[in-house]
Amino acid sequence: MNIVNVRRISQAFFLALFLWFCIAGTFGQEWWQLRGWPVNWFLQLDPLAALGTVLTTGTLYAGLSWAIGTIVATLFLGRFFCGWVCPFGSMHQAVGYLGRRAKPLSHSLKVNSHHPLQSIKYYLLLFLLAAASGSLLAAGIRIAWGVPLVIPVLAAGGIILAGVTARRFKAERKKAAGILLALVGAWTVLAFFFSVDRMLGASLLTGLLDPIPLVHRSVNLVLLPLADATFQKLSVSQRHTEGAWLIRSVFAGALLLNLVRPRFYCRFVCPLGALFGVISRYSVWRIGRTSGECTRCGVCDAGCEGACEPSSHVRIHECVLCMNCLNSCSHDLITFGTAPSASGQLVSPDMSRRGFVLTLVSGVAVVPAMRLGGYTAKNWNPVLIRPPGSLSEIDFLSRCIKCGQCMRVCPTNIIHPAGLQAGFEGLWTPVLNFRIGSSGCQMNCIACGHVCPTAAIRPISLDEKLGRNAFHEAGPVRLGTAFVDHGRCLPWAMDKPCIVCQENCPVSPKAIHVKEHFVTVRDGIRVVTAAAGPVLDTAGTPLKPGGLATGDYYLRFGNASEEQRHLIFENTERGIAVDPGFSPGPGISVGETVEIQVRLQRPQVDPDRCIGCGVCEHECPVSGKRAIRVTAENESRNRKHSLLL
Amino acid sequence: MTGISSENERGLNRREFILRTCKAGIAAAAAGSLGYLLHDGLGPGPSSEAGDAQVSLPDFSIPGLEGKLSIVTGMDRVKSVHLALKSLGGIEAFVKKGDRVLIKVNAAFATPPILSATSNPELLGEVVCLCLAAGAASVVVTDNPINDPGSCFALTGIGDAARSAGAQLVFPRDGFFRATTVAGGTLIRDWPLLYTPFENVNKVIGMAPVKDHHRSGASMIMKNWYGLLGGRRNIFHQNIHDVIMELAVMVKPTLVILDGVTTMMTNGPTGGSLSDLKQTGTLIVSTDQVAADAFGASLLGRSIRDLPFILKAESMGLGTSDFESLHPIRTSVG
Amino acid sequence: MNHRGSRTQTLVGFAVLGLLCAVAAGVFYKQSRYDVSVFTVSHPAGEVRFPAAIPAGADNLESYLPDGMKPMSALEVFGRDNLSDKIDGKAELYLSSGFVSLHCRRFVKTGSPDSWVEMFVYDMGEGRNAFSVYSAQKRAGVEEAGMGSHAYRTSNALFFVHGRHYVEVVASMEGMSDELLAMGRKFVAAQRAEKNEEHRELELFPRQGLDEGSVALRSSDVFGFDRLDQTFIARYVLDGIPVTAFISRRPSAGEAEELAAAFERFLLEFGGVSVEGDLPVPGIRMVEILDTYTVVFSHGRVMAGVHECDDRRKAEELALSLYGRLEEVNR
Repeated sequence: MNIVNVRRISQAFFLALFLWFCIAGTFGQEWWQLRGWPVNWFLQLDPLAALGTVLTTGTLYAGLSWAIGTIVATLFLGRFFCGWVCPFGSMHQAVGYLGRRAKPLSHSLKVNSHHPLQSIKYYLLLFLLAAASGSLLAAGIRIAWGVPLVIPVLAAGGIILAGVTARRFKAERKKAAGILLALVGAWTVLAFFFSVDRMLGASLLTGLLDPIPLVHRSVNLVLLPLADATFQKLSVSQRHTEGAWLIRSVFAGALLLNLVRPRFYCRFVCPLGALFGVISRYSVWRIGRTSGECTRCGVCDAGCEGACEPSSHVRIHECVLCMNCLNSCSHDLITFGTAPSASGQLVSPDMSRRGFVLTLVSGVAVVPAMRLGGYTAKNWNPVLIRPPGSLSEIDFLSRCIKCGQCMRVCPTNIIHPAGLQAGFEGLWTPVLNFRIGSSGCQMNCIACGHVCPTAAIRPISLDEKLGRNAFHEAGPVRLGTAFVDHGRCLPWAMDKPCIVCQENCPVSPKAIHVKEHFVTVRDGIRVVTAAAGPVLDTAGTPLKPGGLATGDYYLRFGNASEEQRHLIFENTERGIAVDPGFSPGPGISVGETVEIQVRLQRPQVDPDRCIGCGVCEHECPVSGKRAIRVTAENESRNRKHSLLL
Repeated sequence: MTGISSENERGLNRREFILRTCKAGIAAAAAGSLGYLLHDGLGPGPSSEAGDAQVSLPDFSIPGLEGKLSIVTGMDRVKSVHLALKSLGGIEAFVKKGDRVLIKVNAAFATPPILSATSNPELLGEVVCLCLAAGAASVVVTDNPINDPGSCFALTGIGDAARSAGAQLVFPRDGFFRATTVAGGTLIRDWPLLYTPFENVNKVIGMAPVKDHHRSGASMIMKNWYGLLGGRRNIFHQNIHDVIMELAVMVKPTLVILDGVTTMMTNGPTGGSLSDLKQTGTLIVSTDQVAADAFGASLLGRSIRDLPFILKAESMGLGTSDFESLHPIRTSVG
Repeated sequence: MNHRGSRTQTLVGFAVLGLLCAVAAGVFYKQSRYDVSVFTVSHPAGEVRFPAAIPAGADNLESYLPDGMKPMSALEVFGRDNLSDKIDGKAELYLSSGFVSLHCRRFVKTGSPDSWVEMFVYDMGEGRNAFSVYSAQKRAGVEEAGMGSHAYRTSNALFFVHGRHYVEVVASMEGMSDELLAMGRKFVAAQRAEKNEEHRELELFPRQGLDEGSVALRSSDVFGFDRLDQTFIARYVLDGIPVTAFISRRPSAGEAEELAAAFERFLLEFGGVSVEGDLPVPGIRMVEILDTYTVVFSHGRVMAGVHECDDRRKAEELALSLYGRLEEVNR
């Protein structure tokens, strides 16, 4: 059996499994729906997500332990994940293959040769991990701070050491170390004088470039709705994704770049691949050349997916174990074994000291710089409504890997990837849009929390969501509060009866109540020209026949002390018929003025009961900018946003 | 970080292999154990933004000195406070050598001292001097003003008075607030409290002028503690009397000094016109903040019934509204 | 093309393929094991409610299940503030009679999903209240249930009083009497500690002409008079004429007399006309109102009388009989 064929089978298997998990992300219990399918397995195998959350939260949450297995296997085998498992990698490899098919060997040699810029991904990895480690550094400093004199001594020592070593410019190693120490010392001193929490913060940005969340986002939120548009099997109505253009562009761009260089993303961008590359330093088994006569035919290099140059110094950290070189060498010179390559090997990526330090520092510094905008504090964005069970913003941004699983599973399609509503670090995090889906947040649905792989959205129970039993005192989970826009709401602004929002409010007792109000309609003041029992003839602008017969219109007459109001049953252009029990009596005579009034039930939101589910906003007939809109005030996840005492 | 492995030699091969395998094994064990240690099966609970534990202020009152009330009439604040303290046993009865004192002033607005919307700087300076003379190791003056702290402490004269008397002026900063919950409270729950200035403090003096207040009827000693709250504390105005009661539960001071020498009779709490003020010439020093406020109500021409927070505080056992029952010592300056 | 080590390759290849199969098997196994509660998007019993917190150790009514029946829905508990969520306007009747709580649950016959019952256990606080709501809703012309004096049956339901509980077991269809009775008996057996209150007032009604099954206890607003509460009412047929008598035990003799006087005033205010009688009953009052006669008097702690009888003679006759009975019992 050909090992390359096995690799292809493996890639196909995991790609098919991944696509199946995407399909099975539909909420429900049918065989093809969510059930117990482990749709998060690829995300849980992803050590970048695991490592990121360990840095930001200090814990390894539940299913993310799978990543330990991946790490251990990589430690022994090398970057097997990239070449054999990663579905994104398989896609790249396929497109790359199409791109260099029927092209001469020289072309393949060129595009599969190692490029120095391939080390960018290591800087990206470092940047992302540094951004995630801010809170860990802050905790360390705080602990050290608690012990008196430690920080001043360390800072002083660091500066002194930096000063001493700065004198010796000869050995670059010592100089660089000195600069590093100086920087750390300076930063520490600064943190001593300024608030540690201001200077350091952690944000989980790995999800932006991590290939597993990326490919989940792209397939679940872009490809699947497109494919399902024809078949309508996965969802009752067309599913939309806000901001799909950006996700699609990134996805398409990454795939198309494979035509420039195969596995472009894997080689130049992928931080997960970089992590695997760093881990494979000590890999027990590795690709290498046996000592034998090499004819320098270049066939191995031409087929190399990782661009690791197996014919010369093989770069272990770039090798994705595609086995093409092993398979194609006609002299059987390439082996996957425990011995180092006869023609030399490189285990560590090519990173400059300076670049390393700079990236590290800017990664740590970027988080507080981003948060200067205040959107995690005073300048919080009221349209940022997060799914029920979400943690408060800073904790949320420490856990969300932007995988889009919550968006995929939401049965009413109201969870969408954010643009810049939550700042740059909130890009592609879940935010609720009540206009776009098929309803509001369903009362009895807790799917999003149970599908989130990192518990950025907690897996709350139904009792907690509804505020029942043990959670009776805490009350239901609120996403926000609905606010009636008096300038747009039909009964408030336009004298048109409407109680759609109140009817649809699912909470019991309802959070929207109505107040009755009578208003004289336009052209409603009329003069009676004839009166015969309950039927009156009136003069004035011609009425729309039957227009007053909806049961909302009343005829009002009489003076202030003896006002009467009767329901209008029917009308013609000039005639109005009120309820048959009415007889004009002495009150109504020809020439008397009567008024046509409409009975309005004006909605009012009770903030004590509103849970911000958005059903009212979704149902509001003012379909552009809704006349009742939910914003994040009073959301349970953050007491600072509360509306009332 | 560049590392080029040495040339491939068969002899070293095996050693290198074993070394590499060991490193891989150790790394795997490290990864495994780290994963095991950090494993969290349950996930986070409903998070609170402040990860720190809740704090609460200790009881600063001195046992045995409850129910002391001294009322001095006269227009000279310095002389009045001397006389008042003397009648209660002198400042030494309250501040001992080595004590660390905190004076909570009213610096809520950036208004000049003559408008009497804030604590009088002359009185503050004198009290600081007295504390230091009694042997206090440090005196801290603080408040979380409604307006910008810099201009408040400056324009009211409080900043200068504190500094020149030798006190340490502490400005409120974000990191100084910690979450607190008042025992039995329904309003002040998990709410930011200006806590850091209280660290290592063992005596607390509340100092406030007598003012009319549009919302609560009066702003005196108990309302003055409002200035220790952070966050969007405006929200409590919906339930002002209950929150004042909870503030009195939250802070049990050693001593309170209610400045009724000039009382803001109308348009409080900001006032703005001298015509709002009346020279009522009375200074109250007490260890019972409820009694002090109850007496202060009379300076405003109000009865205790007009100020529900007084009876609410009394019902919580924080003092008595019947100040006469404390046999106040009434003296006069000049 | 790689000949050397092709055996190794094949072995590795098979190992990998085996691993893939294991993964597939694992995934397939995992899909069948999941938490069903996450998927109940729609509440099985209908619309969403916020019922009161179910207290720990609440009686979930399962112990009253006969063989062949199993629970169909969860236990629901309602208190005074949300009873109307369950029984809407009828809540008023219970609330004004000392209602404490309602435990209710649906049960279904195994194998026959259309045959289900709902059991309502109303805790009315005390036996008197339970009897009050029981008698207030008693349907006319019903079968005896063979479960004691305060129980009756209709074609699809069982109603009874036990201690302070008023229990209704209502079936979705006719022909489930056996199950209904079984549940009722199990409830009585389980709640053995409670006994039905002996209502002494029942003894006070003279036997002749009395329709025993008609004795009811009204808790409040009896005959539209807000001061009249906790009154037993019994229907009689005297020579073919229906007459209603009532008895209400008051805390003291003075209060009984005062209430009798107040009731008379109440009737007079509504257009009644006082009628002089010649019955040998001290302090007896008769009022003619809307062409009917009402008699009111007090005897010791009891305030009693006859309510709106068309025939004056019959009213007087029953009043006298009632008075005589009260005299007799008191001895």
